[in-house]
Amino acid sequence: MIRVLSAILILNLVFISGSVPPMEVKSHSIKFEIENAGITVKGSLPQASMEIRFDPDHLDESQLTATADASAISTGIKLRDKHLLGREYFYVGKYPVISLKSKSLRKIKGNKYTGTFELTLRDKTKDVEIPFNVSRKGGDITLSGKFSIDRMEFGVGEESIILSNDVRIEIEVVGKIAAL
Amino acid sequence: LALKTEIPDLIGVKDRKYLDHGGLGRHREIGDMMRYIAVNQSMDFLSSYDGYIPIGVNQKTLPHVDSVRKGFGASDRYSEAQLYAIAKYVYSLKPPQNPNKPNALSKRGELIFKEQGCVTCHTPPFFTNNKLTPADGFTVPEDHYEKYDIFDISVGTDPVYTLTTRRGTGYYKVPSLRGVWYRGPFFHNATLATLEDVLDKRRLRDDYVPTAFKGVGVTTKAVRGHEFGLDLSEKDKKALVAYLRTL
Repeated sequence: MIRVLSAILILNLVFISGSVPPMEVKSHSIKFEIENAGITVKGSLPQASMEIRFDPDHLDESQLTATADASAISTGIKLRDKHLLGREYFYVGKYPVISLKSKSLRKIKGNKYTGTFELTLRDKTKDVEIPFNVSRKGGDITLSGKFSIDRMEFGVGEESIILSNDVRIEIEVVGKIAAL
Repeated sequence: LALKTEIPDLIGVKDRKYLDHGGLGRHREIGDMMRYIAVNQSMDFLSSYDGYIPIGVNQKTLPHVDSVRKGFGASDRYSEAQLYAIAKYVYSLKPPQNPNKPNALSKRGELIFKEQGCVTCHTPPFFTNNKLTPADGFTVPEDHYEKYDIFDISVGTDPVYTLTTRRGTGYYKVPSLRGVWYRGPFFHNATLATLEDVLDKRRLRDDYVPTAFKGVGVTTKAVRGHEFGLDLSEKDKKALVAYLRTL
């Protein structure tokens, strides 16, 4: 019985992570925007790691994951950044990372794709739909996607008369992929 | 006394959720204001500053309550009706007419105010988010997050008032910016005379001469904390001050 379970486990690991090789990530960016008192505040999460296993011919075996260090959040104002680390917002002492993991990927048409991703922010995990483009230039491949979340659904901050609930997020990753 | 506080503005107090610089008094409804008035009326004669009692016998011993009553009338208790009337009067105070009308410069200042994130704490329409910020050296107890309105970051202003005085709470309330055109000096300890001084980076230097209250025997000292807008250009600072003076 143990042997059978071990074999299934090994097969699962091969299936999940073995079929599509990880892309060599050359650069990445995670940016966000939010309206505050009618002004667009722009920020980023510069510290992140991404594992991109993407093969357009084997989307069911592809997987995109990103993990960002919440404590590295940057909005251009140091004290604001420090405040964002506190319990009212990202609460990094308790929830140090923000993670995104694809559950399923689908092709729309041409270079346009979409995916259902599991986003974990603070103690909330929710599915988000992220449409993304795939472009190639030279030996590089770029995946870029945009989506929005309601920060209140993740317990980030409180209701505010000046700060929007809607947060626009843009993720881009550039790398090489042998299979392409 | 080595410590002085800026006298808080009562105009607009109805819209503030905490009273005193340290937020010692909560202000949820008029009853809180009445209690605050009663306490201040009746309890100030108990003041003791590390053994120095301003109205004490030889400033060392608390006077008998009868002598206080005769001398100051401070322990006479107002009736509830009187407290209510005083509170209503305080609520009725209106600001003087602001001669600083919005113009192109102040409009640009408004944009800077928003871009610099000032609106997070000094949120319209009251120009305060009505929260308490912990002072340096104070750790917010876990239960306070539920009980009070906590803006969980220190802006680094002098913690002495709120950590060591009888009115201290460990916090400073976020003050309203309404009426700054006729008010001052600035900061809870009244160290800066003008809004321009608040935005002057030189105040962080140890050889800075505070433009308002310095403290007994103090000739120079750095005025740290609330270090926002210090790196703006002079032009932007002028615009920002022009906007603040319209509030």
